[in-house]
Amino acid sequence: MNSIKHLPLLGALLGLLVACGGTAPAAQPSGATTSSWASSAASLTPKRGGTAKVAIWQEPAMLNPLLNTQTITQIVGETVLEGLLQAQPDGTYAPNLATELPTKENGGISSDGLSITYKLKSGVTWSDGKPFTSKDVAFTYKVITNNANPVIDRAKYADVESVTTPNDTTVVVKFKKLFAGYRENFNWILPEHALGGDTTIDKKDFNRAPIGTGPFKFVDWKSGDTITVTRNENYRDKSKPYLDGLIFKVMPSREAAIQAYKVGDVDVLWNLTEGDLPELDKISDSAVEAVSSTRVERLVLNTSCPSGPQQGDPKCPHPVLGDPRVREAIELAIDKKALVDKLLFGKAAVATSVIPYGWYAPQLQPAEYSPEKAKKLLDEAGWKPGADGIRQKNSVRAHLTYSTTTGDRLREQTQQVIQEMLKNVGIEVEIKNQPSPVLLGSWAEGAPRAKGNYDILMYTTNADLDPQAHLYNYFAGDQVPTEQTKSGRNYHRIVDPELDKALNDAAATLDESARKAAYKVVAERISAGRGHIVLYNRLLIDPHKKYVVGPKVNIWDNLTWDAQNWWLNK
Amino acid sequence: MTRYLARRLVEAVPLLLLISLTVFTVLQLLPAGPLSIYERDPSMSDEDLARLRQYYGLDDPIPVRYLKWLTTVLRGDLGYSLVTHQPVARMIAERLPNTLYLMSTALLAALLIAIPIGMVSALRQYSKTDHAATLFSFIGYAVPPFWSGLLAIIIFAVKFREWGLPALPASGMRTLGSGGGALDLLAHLVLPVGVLAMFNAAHYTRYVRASLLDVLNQDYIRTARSKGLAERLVISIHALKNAALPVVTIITLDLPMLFSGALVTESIFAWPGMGRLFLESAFRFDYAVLMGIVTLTALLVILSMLLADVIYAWLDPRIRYT
Repeated sequence: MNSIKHLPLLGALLGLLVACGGTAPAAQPSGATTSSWASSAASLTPKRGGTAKVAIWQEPAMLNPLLNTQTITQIVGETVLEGLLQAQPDGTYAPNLATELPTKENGGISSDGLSITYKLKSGVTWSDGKPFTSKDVAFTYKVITNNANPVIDRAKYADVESVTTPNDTTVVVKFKKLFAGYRENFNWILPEHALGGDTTIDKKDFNRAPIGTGPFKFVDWKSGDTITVTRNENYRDKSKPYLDGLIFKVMPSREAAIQAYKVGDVDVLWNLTEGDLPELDKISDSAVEAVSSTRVERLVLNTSCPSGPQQGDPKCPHPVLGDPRVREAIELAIDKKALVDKLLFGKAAVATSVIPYGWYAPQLQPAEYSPEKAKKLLDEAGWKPGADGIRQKNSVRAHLTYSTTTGDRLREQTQQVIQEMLKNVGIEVEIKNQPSPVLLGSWAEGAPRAKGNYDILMYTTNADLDPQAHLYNYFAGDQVPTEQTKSGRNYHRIVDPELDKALNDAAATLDESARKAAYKVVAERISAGRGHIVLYNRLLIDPHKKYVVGPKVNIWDNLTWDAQNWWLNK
Repeated sequence: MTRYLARRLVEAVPLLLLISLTVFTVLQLLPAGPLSIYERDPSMSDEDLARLRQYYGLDDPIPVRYLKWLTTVLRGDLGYSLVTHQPVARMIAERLPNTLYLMSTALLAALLIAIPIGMVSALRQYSKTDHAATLFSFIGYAVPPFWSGLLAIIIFAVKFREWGLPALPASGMRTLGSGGGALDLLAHLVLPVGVLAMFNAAHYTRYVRASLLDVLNQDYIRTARSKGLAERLVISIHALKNAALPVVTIITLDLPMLFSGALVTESIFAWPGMGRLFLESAFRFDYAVLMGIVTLTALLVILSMLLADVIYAWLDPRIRYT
């Protein structure tokens, strides 16, 4: 009863929750597979009515995705708020509030590529009945650029010169210089009237009770308990949504969410992990689609000095990992297929690149597995086995620390298997895990990843449907974290001029095929450098009961991206 | 008595200041802050972060920030959460009724179990009933709520459903999609209250037993018995009132829990109470909320200690405060 009595438990719980909170930025659902029951159900005529209950095991801090980076904020928020374009399961963009994708052919993109014109759907209204116009888009831009708002993703708008509205259904975005990722902009449009025209929205109740153009309308939020949205009678597609509403039930943990799903208290689950699959398989009326996602589990190898005055400086090579042959030997020694078969029930894909899906994804060959070649390579590089079988060179022992986030069972199992595989070729790794906020924290927090104070890290990250920002931030030569570039994410600290050139090429054109060719070079340079060794694509698991018909997995968006198409077959 | 009360209240002020200052400083010493969620996001640039830190005054030295916090609180405002972007007082107000339902029912249930068992235990010391009660106490106290909670869920919610028995709800305060209502709330209270009551009844039982045994060995009880008073009257008039003293003190000191809630039990049963608010805020480094809860809890602890002393004097006329 007394919270003090429970304090020792807090530590254990902390570990658990940190693991859940995890590193993965956006867990994104996928459309790669459709199970047979879904296709048969799709032929049925959708029924109106009913409420679907969705268990979420993290409470959003707010419901305005412009101001909050949590995936769960987007999942609940996007039932209400919409953007101009929307990412589709096949990795393309489709118009949402816009009538068409701007192209050079339809005049949406100016010949110099600096001016993008969006035509908006006419007759769209906000859920309160007020008309949606281009003014709302211009207002949203003012909100984004207002310094008093904690807007995330502002960098996407850094090159915007102006946003003008020639008429109610036209928005012209002018750029100072070419911005290839323009399609990622304006993914949340806010209503000017509902915010009283005030662009300082930091403290507005709107952030908790948004008004949007989406299929559902916000009803109430019982803190720590439920968030309820109901059918938006003013939605532009009069036949949708099929459901009367959605209830998001906040559960304290993933385990509790699974229990509630099992006993039938909720109909849809969000973001389970690979380790939950055996338990889910036992639930007979559940449709589990485990889909390979964009999130790639990887080893990040520190190529710079892990300690000393030049710690994290690319000019000071790591005593072991600074040698590219050692990094190559590490990749050769890891049997990725065995990891997938043994630990992921054979359901995940062996990763071949840091950008596995999307219009730009290059087709790369899986890395070779050959412990013999690894041993030979290490011999050639001068790393000779010592008395205990661990290699040495100039009295430096091939001993590396191997860190990941604590409390993640799949990661811990992967570590043990890889530890054995590397020992087999004479490399000794010492497992040294830390809670996610500590290990993967920021420069200001002094996190080992940011400061370069590690040997091998393992975690997951992913690129967006426009990969430029992610790839630049993680792999460009000028993104090695330092006092000057604190938010740089070139944690492996490889500076590769060829890779930098390909990244700049990809950003210098709006032509998709030219960009795709540039990203192929980028992916190949990353594979060759082995600062990141990709292991497997994490699975995306958002199960729902079989009577919930319609959910289609979209690895580029979130669980609720198509909630207007969901219906209950019972 | 009035003077005594006034003095105690005045003494409480520096204590509260000290507590809030200590907690505030310790929180600021953590390597993460309310903007951590943004710091770890690749979509936030260094310039944006620096701008926000300045806008929210996070770069000010700790004493300046403490004084800002203190002046806000003295104006009756608990401050503003930088994570949820809403007033702390509102966040607490949303959760407090839920915790009050849970904790007051649990306290009541614990007392209803503990008092009779403790009394019987004391009156029949070393009997089989006493041994059984002792065993119950030790089990109740030794089994942590996170374990008994999960066990209760498995048996009464999951297995009962499988066996076709009327299952109890295992999470939240109301059935999803229904209007709720008193009966529904009551059904949702059964399991978490049961778990909390078991745990607390276990140690209250020991206090009741020990305290009553102590009194029963006093001279005045022997005197009462030897003047031929019926045993029933000896117990109810002489023993119980005196034995109640330490028990009432213990219960009064536990009263702040009605506000602070039960971290673990609330988490297991998805109860939207104060304990979970505290836990969630800790995980997202939401200092404003943590400070609000800790300060209010500290205030309530101080007040309940004072209340315990007052009740003590009222129950025992020998005690006089000056």
